[in-house]
Amino acid sequence: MRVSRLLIVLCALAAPLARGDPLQHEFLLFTSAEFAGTFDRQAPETQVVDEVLKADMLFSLQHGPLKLFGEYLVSDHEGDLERFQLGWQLSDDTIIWVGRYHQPTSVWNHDHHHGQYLQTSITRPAIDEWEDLGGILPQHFTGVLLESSRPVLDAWQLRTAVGAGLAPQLNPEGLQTFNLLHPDSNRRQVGYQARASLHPGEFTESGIGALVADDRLSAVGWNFPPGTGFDDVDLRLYGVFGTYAAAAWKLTATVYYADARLERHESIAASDFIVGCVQAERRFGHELTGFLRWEDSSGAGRSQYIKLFEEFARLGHIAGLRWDFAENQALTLQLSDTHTLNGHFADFRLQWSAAFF
Amino acid sequence: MRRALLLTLLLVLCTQGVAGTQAVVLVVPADSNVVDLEPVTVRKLFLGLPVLVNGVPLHPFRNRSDAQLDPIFLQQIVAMSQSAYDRQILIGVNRQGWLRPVELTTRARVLATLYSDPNAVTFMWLRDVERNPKVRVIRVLWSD
Amino acid sequence: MERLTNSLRVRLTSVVLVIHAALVPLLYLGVSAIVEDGYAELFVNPLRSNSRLIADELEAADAQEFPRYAGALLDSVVLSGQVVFAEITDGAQTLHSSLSSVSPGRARGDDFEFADHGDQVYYISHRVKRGTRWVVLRLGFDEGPTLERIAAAKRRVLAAVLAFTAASIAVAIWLSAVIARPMVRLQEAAKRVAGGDVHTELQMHSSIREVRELNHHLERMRQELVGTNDRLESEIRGREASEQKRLDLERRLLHRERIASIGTLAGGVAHEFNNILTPILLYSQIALDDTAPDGALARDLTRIVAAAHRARSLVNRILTFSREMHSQEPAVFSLRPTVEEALALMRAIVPANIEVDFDASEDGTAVQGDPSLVHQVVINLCTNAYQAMRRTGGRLSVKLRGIDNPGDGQINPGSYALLEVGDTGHGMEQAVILHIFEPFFTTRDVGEGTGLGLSVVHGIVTSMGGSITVESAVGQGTTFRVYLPAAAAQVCERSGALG
Repeated sequence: MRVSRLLIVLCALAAPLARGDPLQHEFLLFTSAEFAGTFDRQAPETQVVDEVLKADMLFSLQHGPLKLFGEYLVSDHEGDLERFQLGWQLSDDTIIWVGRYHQPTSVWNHDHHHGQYLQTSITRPAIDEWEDLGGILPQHFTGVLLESSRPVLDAWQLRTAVGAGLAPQLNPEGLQTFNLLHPDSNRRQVGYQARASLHPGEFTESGIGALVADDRLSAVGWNFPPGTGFDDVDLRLYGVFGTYAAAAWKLTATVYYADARLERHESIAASDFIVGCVQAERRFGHELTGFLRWEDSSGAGRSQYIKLFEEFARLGHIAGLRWDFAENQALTLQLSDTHTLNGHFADFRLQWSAAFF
Repeated sequence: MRRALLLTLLLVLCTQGVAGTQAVVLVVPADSNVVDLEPVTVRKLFLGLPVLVNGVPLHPFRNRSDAQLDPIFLQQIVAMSQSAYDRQILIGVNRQGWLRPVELTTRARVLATLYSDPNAVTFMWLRDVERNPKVRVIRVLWSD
Repeated sequence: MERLTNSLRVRLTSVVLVIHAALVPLLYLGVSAIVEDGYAELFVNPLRSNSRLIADELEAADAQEFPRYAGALLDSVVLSGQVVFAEITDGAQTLHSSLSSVSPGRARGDDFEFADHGDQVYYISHRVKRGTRWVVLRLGFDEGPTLERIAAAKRRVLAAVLAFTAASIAVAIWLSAVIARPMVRLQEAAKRVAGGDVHTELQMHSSIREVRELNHHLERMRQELVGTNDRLESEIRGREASEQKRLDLERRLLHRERIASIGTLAGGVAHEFNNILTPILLYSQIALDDTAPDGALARDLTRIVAAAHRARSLVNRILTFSREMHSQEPAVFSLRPTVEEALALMRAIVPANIEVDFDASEDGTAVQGDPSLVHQVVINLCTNAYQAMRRTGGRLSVKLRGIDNPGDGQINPGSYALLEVGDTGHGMEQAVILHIFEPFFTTRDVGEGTGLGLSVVHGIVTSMGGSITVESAVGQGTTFRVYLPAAAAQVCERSGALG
C-alpha cells in the first residue's frame, strides 16, 4: 500500500518532467536580530529573552502542479523545520498539502508565519504565540491541509482553509509538536481546523472571516498524584477576525472563544475563555509605521486549561515604531506592558529584520 | 486552431494600428496552449500566483533585458510600485511557497526560454518578436 | 588675526562648521530624496492599482451598456478627486469625461515616474479589450497635491535640518569652549610658572581625560621645578657661604702670614738688638760699679743702664710677639682668677668715668698655657679699651664663658673659653681694623704708645692655639673676642694627634 502511494507521488513528479517542464524553485531568507529587556518586573517568569538572532529560510520547488515547500527556522536558541509540505495544485486557486503545516485558523499564521520582516510588531499576540514560546494553542500540525481562494459575489474573494493533522502533545513543559527531523512515537491525536474569509479583492489585505477548530491534545505528565489530573484535552476554538487596510491605516482584530475540556475517563473539567486583540498600524510617509496593540481576555483566570500556562499574557498593551530604513530592511522599537496570570512586567525590544531573495 | 488563427490575425491587425510606435506585448512560445490571458490573470501570473492552463501551471518570466521595460511591467502588468511588488512577492512565497517570476536579463535568454519552455509566458517589445515564427503574441500590453 | 585662527576653540568650531557645511546639504538632500521617494511611492502605487482596476471594470462591462457605462465610469473617476483627465479612445472615436479639467488636446503620453514631463499630471493608459475591438483607457492623475505635500515636507525637512544645524553648531561651540577652557587655563597656569610663580598648584578639574592627564603631568613638572629651584638656591647659598669662608680663611691666612713675617723680622731685629744691648748693659754696669757713686759719671752710667734695661724690656716684648719669648711650662688653669686679678689692677688705673663690668661663668673656662701671658692679654686689651674711653668715659665690660663653636668660618669648630672685652669708645674704621695686630701700628699720638700691645696679644693667643676677633663700629665701641681652646678638648686633640 505504501509502495503504491509512493508510486503515485513519483508519477506526479515525473509527469511535468516528461512534458519538459523545468524545475522551478524559490528561496527566501528572513533574518532578524532582537534585543530585549524587562523592567517594572513583578512576574516570576517571562518569555522575554535578552537577545535572539533568527534566520528563517523558505524554499519552494515546483514540478508542474506538484510543489514542495518548506520553512526552516534557525536561531541562537533553536533550530526546527517549521513547515514541510508537499502540495498538489489542483487548480489556479486550490492546493492541497500534506506534511507539517501552520494551523490555518490564526490570522497571524496566514499573514506572517515566521517571517519576522513581514510582521509590523516584533511580537505576536499571546493567543497566537508559538508553542515553544509558551503559546497555548497548537500551531503546528502534521497532516493534510486544503487551501483555496476563489472569486465569489462578483469581485469578492473567498479564501478558505481546512486542515486535519496530528496535534501537539501537552506535557508540563507545554505543547510538544511533532518534529519531522526527530520523530517520536508519543501518543498524539488529531485536530481539525477550518477558516473562511471574504476579501474585496485578490490582492487586498482587507477582509473578514471566521474560524473553527477542534483539537484533541494528548496530555502526558499531568496525572500526579496518581488517579488525579487528566489524560486528554479537547480544545474547541471559535473565532472571528477582520482586517481593514487603507492607504495609511491597517486595523486587525481577532476574537477567539475557546472551550477547553480536561478529560480523564468519565470526568471532564470544562472551562471556557475569550481572548481578543486589536492592532492598529499607521504609516507615516513611506518608511515609518507606528503601531498599537491591545490584548485582553475574559475567563482566563479561572480556566483550568490556561492555568497550565503560567506565562500566558491575559492582558497586554504594546506600542511601537517601525522604520523601513532600506530596501527590505527595517528597525522596530516596541514597548510592552504585560499582565500574566501571576504577575506583571514591562519590556522593551529593538529589532532589526530583513528579507533576502 | 481556427480560433487561434483568428486571434493572431486580429492581433496583427491591432498591432498594425500601432505600427511606427513602441509597444510591449505578452508572448508565449508558438506551440503554447495559451490563447489569451486576461489582465487579471496576467497580473496574478506575474505576482507569482499559480495559473494553470489545462492543468499545467504557466511559467512567468520577467524580461529585464531593457531598463525601459521595468516601469511598463510595474505599471501595466502588475499595476503597483516596485516596493509593493517586492512585498507582494514576499507575502506569496512566505504564505504558500509561490514562485516569483524568473528574471531574464538578456533578449537572447528571453528568446531561448521561450523556445525551450512550452509553458513560458513573458513580455517583449513588439519590434523584437513581430517577425519571429517561434514566438506568438497574445496581447498588446502597452503602446505609446 | 593669525593668533585668533590659531586658537584651539576657533579651530574646533571651524572644524565643526566645515563638517556642517559639507554634511548638512547632503543630509538635507538625502532626507528630501527619501521624502520625495516616499510620497511618490504613495502616489504611484495606488494609482497604478486603481487604474488597472478601472480598466478591468471597463473590460468586464456589458457590451450593450458600454457607451453609457463608460461615460458614467469616466465621470465617476474624475469625481473621485484625484483624476483630472479621463478618456476612452479606439483611435477613431474618443469618449472624454466632461468633468476633466485637462482638455483632450493637452494630454501627453504615459508617465512612468512621478512628476514625469513636469505637467503635474500623471498619465497612464491601459488597453481594454471590447469584444473584438481594442480601446485605450487614458487617465490623468493630479500630481499637484502630492507635489505640494512634497514641497511642504521638504520645507519641514529644511526647517528641521536648519534647527538641527543651529542646535548642533551651538552645542559644538559650547563643547569647543568646554574643551578649550581647561586648555586655556592650563596655558595661563603654564605662563605663570614660566614667569616664575612656581608655587601655585595647578588644579584643573575637567571631565576630559586628556586634559586631566595634561594637568597632572604639568603639575608634576611644576613640582619638579620647585624642587630643582630649592636645590639650586640651597646650593647657591652653600657655595656663597663656602666662598665667603674661603675668602675669610684666605684673608686670615694672609693676615697671619703678614703678622708672622713681621714677627720674624721683628724677632730677628730684636735678637740682633739684644746682642748689641748685652755688652752695652754689661759694660755699663761694670763701668758703673767701677765709678764713684756720687759723681756725674755714675749718674750718666746709671741713665745708660736704665735706658739699656728699657731697651731690653722693649726687645723682650718684641720677642714675645714673635713667639720666641720663653714662657713657663704650659699648665691647665682656670681663666677666671687670672682675669679677675688683671681687672683688679685695671680698676685701680681707670678713671671714675669708666665703669668696669665683669661677667663670668666657671664652666668651660679652663685652658692650657701660661697664666701670666693671659694676664698680659687682659691688661693689654683693657688698656686699649680704657684709652678709647679716656676722654668720654663709658663702660668697660669683660665677659668670660665656655662655648661650643660649631664652626662659623672664623673659628675652627670645638669647645672654647671665650673672653670678651668690650668698650663703648670711639670705635675703629675698617681700614684701621685691618692693621691693628701689626707690630708698631698705632693710632695714638707719638710717645703715647709703642704699637705693640695688640700684636703681643695676637702672639700670645696664637701661641695658645686660639683666635682673636674684633668687632668695631665708629662711635659705638669695640669688642675683642678671644677664643682659647678649652683644656679638655685641647688635651683630647693632642692625645688624638699622638695616637
